[in-house]
Amino acid sequence: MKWFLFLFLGLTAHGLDVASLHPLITDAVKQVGGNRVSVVEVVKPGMNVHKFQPKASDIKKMAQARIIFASGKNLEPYLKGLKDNLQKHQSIVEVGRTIPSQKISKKDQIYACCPHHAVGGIDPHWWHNISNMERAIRVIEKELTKADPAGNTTYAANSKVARQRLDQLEAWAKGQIATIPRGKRHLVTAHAAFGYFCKAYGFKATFVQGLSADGEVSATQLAQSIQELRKEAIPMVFPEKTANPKVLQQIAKQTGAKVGKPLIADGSSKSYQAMIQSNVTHIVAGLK
Amino acid sequence: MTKSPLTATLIPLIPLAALGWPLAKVINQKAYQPVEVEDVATGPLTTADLEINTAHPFKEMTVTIGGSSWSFAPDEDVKEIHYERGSRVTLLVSVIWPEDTPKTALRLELLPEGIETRSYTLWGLGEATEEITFTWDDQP
Ligand SMILES: [Zn+2]
Ligand SMILES: [Zn+2]
Repeated sequence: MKWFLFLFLGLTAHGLDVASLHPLITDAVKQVGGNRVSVVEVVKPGMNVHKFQPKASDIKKMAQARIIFASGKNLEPYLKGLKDNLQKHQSIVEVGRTIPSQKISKKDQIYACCPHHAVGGIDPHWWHNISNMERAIRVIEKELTKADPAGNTTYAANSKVARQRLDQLEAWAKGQIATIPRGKRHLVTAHAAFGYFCKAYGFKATFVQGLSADGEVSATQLAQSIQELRKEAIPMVFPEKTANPKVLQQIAKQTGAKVGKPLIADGSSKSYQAMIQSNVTHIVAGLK
Repeated sequence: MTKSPLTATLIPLIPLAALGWPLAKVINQKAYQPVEVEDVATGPLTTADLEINTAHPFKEMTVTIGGSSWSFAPDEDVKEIHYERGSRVTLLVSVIWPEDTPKTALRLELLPEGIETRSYTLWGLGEATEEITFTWDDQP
């Protein structure tokens, strides 16, 4: 009976059972939870977070999870439907909910990554500001502590270490970015996915790839982008790992810019630190 | 030879339709119902994390906002606090460092839910008391 009760609460012999709908959240939950928590990775690195829809098999996989961690800010428009499919003891935590939102400006909405983020667009890519990930760590710490109060000292200590690591990562990133002359801090990417990065680290942002399936924008818009990039003598434009590079290559050709190494926009990475390091390294190499 | 009235009316619509068709294909990939993203910055109280970073460990530290006070233990680096919502908040911070601590700094970071982070670095020799006001232009 007792054993059954444990299972029911999601507190099994191997600790607190949770699930994650985003690879970067999985990394964060593992760091804070340590060996008290076991995480079911529903959305794994390599999967498209903008297009993911949970199947019956995913819901089954999550059946033991007491908490289902999502990224929030409407990155997962399916959450409402998912909620209706959960059991009483399960809850969804949108980790990004309390992180200050940035909007994709009206003029940039045609460059949003998918239709969900073009309407009234709150930009869901909050993880590109390292301070926001520190906030996320705290949200996870509080939620794990609520679900498993006995683990509170573990979660607090792990959270502290994780946040200190992020502070170091941010100091490193800022130091790298400082090597790019101020006037050259202009990030040209395919989609409007790096708004949080650009605001946090002082870059001007330009997006060039439209919303349609093949990434086409109107000839006028394309001409405008090309003119702007030529005027500013942009040395490099950056593709994204998951987006079609066609338009970007065309723009590069016409402006004399090089096409840089692809950036990770959606957090399709096993490690947050690895994603930031890779993005910052590519940006700095291309612009300095 | 004249065109039939029906054809005459339809012809001008052809380029429009040609434009509209791929557009419809793009926009109607799946009829999307935007959900209202819930605004976290509502209600009479703001919930915030107050984070501190120190160069040297302190002996005592207290933060007061309005009528509420929070004391930090020397090994504590963050606390969840609640205060009256508004576009500004004033923190009265007082710190005591152990004897023989050189002039040192304490960095405070206030991270209200849904609202931009604000930070301040306070300096002191032995002790420090300071009133710090954070403001936000774009918050109600
Ligand atoms: Zn999207
Ligand atoms: Zn994206």
